[in-house]
Amino acid sequence: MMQNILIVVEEKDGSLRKVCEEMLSFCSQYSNKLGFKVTALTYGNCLNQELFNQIASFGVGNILVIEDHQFARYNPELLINILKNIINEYNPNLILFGNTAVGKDLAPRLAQALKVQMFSDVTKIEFANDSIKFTRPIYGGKAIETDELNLENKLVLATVRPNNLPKYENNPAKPGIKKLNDKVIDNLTYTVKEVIEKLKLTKSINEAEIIVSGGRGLKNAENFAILEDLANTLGAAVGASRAAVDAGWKSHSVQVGQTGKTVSPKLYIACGISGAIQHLAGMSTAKCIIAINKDPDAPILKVADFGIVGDLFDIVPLLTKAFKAVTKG
Amino acid sequence: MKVLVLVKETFDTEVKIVLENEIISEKDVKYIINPYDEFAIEEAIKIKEKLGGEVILYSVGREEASATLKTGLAMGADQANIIKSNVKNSMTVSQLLSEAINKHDNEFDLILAGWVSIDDNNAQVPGRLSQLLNIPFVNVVTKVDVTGEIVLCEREGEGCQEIVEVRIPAIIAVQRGINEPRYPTMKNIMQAKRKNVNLLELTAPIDKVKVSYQFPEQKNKGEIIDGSNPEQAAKVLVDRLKESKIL
Ligand SMILES: Cc1cc2nc3c(=O)[nH]c(=O)nc-3n(C[C@H](O)[C@H](O)[C@H](O)COP(=O)(O)OP(=O)(O)OC[C@H]3O[C@@H](n4cnc5c(N)ncnc54)[C@H](O)[C@@H]3O)c2cc1C
Ligand SMILES: Nc1ncnc2c1ncn2[C@@H]1O[C@H](COP(=O)(O)O)[C@@H](O)[C@H]1O
Repeated sequence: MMQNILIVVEEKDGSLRKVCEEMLSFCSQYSNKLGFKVTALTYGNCLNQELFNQIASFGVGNILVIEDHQFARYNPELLINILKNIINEYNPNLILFGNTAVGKDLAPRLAQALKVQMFSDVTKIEFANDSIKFTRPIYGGKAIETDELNLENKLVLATVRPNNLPKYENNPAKPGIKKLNDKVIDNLTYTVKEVIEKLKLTKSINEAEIIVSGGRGLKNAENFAILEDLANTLGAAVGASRAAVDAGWKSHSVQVGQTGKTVSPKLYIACGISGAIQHLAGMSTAKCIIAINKDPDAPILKVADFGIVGDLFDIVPLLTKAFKAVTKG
Repeated sequence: MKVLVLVKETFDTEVKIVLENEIISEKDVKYIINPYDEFAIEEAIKIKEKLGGEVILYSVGREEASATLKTGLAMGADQANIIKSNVKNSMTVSQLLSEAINKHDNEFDLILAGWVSIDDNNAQVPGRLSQLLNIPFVNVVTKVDVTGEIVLCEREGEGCQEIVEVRIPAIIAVQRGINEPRYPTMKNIMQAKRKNVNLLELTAPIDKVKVSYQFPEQKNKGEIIDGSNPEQAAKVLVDRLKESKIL
C-alpha cells in the first residue's frame, strides 16, 4: 500500500516550477482519498517563506528544507548524498521529480544508489491497492508504455513530464517546515567551474503552455520576427524544426523533436513545418495542434486539430492581429 | 586512452510500430545505432585521434546487432562487445554493462554514451552505471576536452550552460551539437569487416515490473481551413479556438 510520497520540489527565481505544482496538487488530491502522506523536499542556498506558502497552497504542508551555500550551483554529487540520507530516514514508497534538466540528471543516479526501479517522463500515475501504475510515451509518442509494479513496501522513483498530471482545487495546508542539517560533503569529484547563463530574452519551451514553432518554410532567420510577434501576443515560447536549427536560424535549445526537446503544451502552432515523423516525436502529445502550411498534403495537417492551408507570410500576421483583438476584448 | 562507448540498437526512426498482444513486434524492423550514441562514437574516435589508444563498443541486445555495430567499427572503433540479452529494463541493462566492463575492460579511462535512447526514452543507463562503477558522471554534454587526467565538459543545465570538471575514469553522456558523426568510407567499411565483434554471455537478474504497450489515443480528425482568403481563415481559426475553450 502507498504510505509515503516524497516530491522533490524545484524553484525558479523564487517560484515553484509548474511541473512541481502539478505533482503537489495531484498527490495531495489522492492522499486525501487514499490516505497516504505527502512530503515536499526543497533545497537551495536561500529559500524563502513565500515558496513554502506556495507549496502549502497545493495541500502539502509537510515540507523538508535543506539550505546550504553550496546549493548556489547545481551539483548532482552533492544532492545525491543528502537525498540518500533523507530517504533512509523517511522511508517513502514513491519519490517524484519533475522531468526537468535537474530531475533527469538526479533521478537515475539516486535510483541506482538506492537500487530501485525508476520510470522516466511519465504522463500518468495510477494508484491501486498494493501496486502503482505509470504511463509513459515511447518511440517518440508512437506508442505508450504501461508499467505496473507491486509496492510490497518497496520504493520506486519517477520523473513527471510537465503539463500532464491534472491539477485540482486543493484545500491549502498549513506549512509545517522542518529544516534538515545534514552535513554537506566537500570532497567532491564533480566540480562546477562556471555557469554561463543563457539570454533570459528567449522564453524556454520546456514548460510553456503555448508554443509557436517555425520550420524551413520561414526561409530565413529574420522572418522568425513574425512568429515572435504572434508568440508575444499569446505569451508563448518560440520553437523550431531541425531544418530551421540546422540552417542556423534558431538555437538547438529550442529544437522540437526526436533529437531536440519533447514538449506537451496546451497549444502548438506549427508554421512552415512539414511534420516529419522525427518532428512529431517531440510534440504529438500537445493538447491542441494548429498547422499552417501551403502544401495540402503536408503530414503535419494529418495530426493537426486545425490546419490552415495557405501562405504563412499572409496568415501569421493576420492571426496575430485577430488574437490581439481577442485578448483585448 | 581506453574509451568505451555504450551503443544501443534502436528501431529506425521511420519504422511503423506494430503491436501484438500488447508487445511491440520486431518483425521486419530496420535497426540503426541510437542517434545520440553515434555522437558518442564520433567523440570517442576524436579522442583516440588526439591522444591515441583504443575505442571499444559495448551493447546489450540482440546477437544480430553485430551488423548495426559494424557502422561504429567503420567509423573507427576498434572492436565491439555484445552482451546477448533481450532485457529492456534500465536497471538490468546497467547491471549487465557494469558486470561486463568490470570483467573485460576495468582499466578503462572514459565511458561515453548517448544521454537518452530514442526508443524507450529512459535516460537512465549512464546515470545508473556511474553509481555501479562508482565514477563521476556528466550528463547532456555538448563539448568535451580531455587533457591528461582532467576532463572538462560543457553541459546543458536548466536555462544555462555549465562547465564541469571531472577526473578520469569518468562517464559522459552526450547531447546533439557535440560533433557531426563522420560517414565511413568504402575502405573503412571493408576494414571494419575484419574487426572483432565479441559475444559475451551473462545472466540477467529478473525484474518484477509488468510492462505492456498500447497505442496512444486516436485524436478526432482535425479540421482543415481554406487559407485562400487569409483574413477569413484567421478569423475562423480564432473562433474555433474560442469555441473549444482553448483560448
Ligand atoms: C535521426 C533523425 C533525427 C531528427 N530529429 C529531428 C528533430 O528533433 N526535430 C525535427 O524537427 N526534425 C528532425 N529530423 C529531421 C526531419 O526528418 C525533417 O527533415 C525536418 O523536421 C524538416 O523540417 P521542416 O519541416 O522545417 O522542413 P521541410 O520538411 O522542408 O518542410 C517545410 C514545410 O514548409 C512549408 N512551407 C514552405 N513555405 C511555406 C509558406 N510560405 N507558407 C506555409 N508553408 C510553407 C512546406 O510546404 C513544407 O511542408 C530528424 C531526422 C533524423 C533522420
Ligand atoms: N542496451 C544497451 N546497450 C548499450 N548501451 C545502452 C543500452 N541501453 C542504453 N544504453 C546507453 O545509455 C544511453 C541512454 O539510454 P537509456 O537510458 O536507455 O535512455 C544510450 O544512449 C546508450 O549509450
